[in-house]
Amino acid sequence: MRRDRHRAIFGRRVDVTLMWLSRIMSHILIVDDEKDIVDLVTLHLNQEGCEVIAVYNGLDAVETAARERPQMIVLDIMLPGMDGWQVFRQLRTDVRTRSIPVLMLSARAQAHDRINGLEMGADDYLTKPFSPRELVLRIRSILRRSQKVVMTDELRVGDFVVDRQNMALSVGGRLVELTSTELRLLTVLITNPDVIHSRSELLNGVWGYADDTHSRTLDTHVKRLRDKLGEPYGTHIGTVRKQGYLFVSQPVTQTPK
Amino acid sequence: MTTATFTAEDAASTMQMLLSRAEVELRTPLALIQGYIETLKTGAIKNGDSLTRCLEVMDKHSRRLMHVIDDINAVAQLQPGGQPSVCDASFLQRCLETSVERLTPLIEVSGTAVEAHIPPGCCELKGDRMVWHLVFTKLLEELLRNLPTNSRVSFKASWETSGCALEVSCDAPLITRGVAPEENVAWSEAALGLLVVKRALELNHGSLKWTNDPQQGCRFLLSMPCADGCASKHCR
Repeated sequence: MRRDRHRAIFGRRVDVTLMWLSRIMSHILIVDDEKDIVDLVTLHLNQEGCEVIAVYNGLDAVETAARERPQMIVLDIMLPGMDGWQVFRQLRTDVRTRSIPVLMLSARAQAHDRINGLEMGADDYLTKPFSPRELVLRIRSILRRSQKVVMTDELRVGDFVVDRQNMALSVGGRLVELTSTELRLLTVLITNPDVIHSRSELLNGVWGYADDTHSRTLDTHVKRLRDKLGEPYGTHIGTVRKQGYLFVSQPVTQTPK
Repeated sequence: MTTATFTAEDAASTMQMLLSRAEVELRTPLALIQGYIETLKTGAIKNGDSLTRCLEVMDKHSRRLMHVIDDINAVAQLQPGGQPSVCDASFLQRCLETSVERLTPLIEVSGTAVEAHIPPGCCELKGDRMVWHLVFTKLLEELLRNLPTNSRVSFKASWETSGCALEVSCDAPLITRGVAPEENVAWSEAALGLLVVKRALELNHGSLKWTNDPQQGCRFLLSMPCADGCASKHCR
């Protein structure tokens, strides 16, 4: 298996000790079959004090992610062995990797590819060619968002218990399997129950988007969240037409006529 | 004999597929060139060795861009409506020799051994001669670029009910993306160069099958139609 742990590249060694003194080092898994792309991204992430683990095919990606539990994964789509879509699905079905944020980095730039990636639950989708600086900023933003969730512990509203430490949700004592994006969305809503969260607020808070051009992504995630919560808990996620969404602490149950 | 007929709609959708593939193939080398230019501008690369490595990467990927542009040129030539003609029995042999001759520098650099077994009295192929040349040259070029160095490529002609079959076998697998190595290769994920070969073959009413095995290597089977009333002893 070709797997490198990059810390020095282009003959340049990052002073890791100093980095440790100033901040906690992030471990990032990069999955790309183009070694030159891996080197380029590694160079920039090393400068940010991140340690990079690199693998060059899909099969190794799944195995390494489960073993190393990186804080984030940068995933190419067109990979030998197993493509990025398959890798992503496997990551999300494994309890050890399902909450690791994933940024898809791909040469597939068609709108349907980007939408597909985001609808599957990727935390971000960046197309090649990309600015390394922009990539680093996006990674930093995702890490910041995911760390926010980890920092606090448990949040209880009615039958809903969000365990932010373990990225898990139980409703009425039943464990509900959510992706990291779905859990973040629910957490934002549940933190301020019965308060309308605008679409742009949610798109920014959960996905980091500056505008609401990705509103279909939001609707899809809300629908999937309701489906996963099932009856009657799905009714706690309320829609306010043309406004946004809210967590309804006591939904009105409709009695059949 | 099974022949494919192409409507204007088929041609348009194939062209769209080829161009969208070309777009994907342009993006990665462009990402590397732009990425390293940005890196150089930030001053992150300071020592001479690193600078040399950086320039080598940019040089390698600018050449890769040139190959994609060559493939796009080939795509532009793939228009239906070419003049079909009957190629004599020695055409296949000559055509392969011409391809090998054109690609000799690449063959030498890659250390690939290329051999051809075209028995005498071969079929008289039918189709646009220029397209046949494109098929063999582009296929060999793709193999030379994507096989490991010092591989062996063998061309072997035989006969089937619908015409001539050319089996191209390699002792190593091609590196492909997006498909499990043990499966038949999904054409939608194939490299642009191979898609050009497939499309060119279809324009001459032939077909192409491809298997890629990590242990056995890769194998291409080209089915090529022969002329009505072909004088080959196998068709008589």
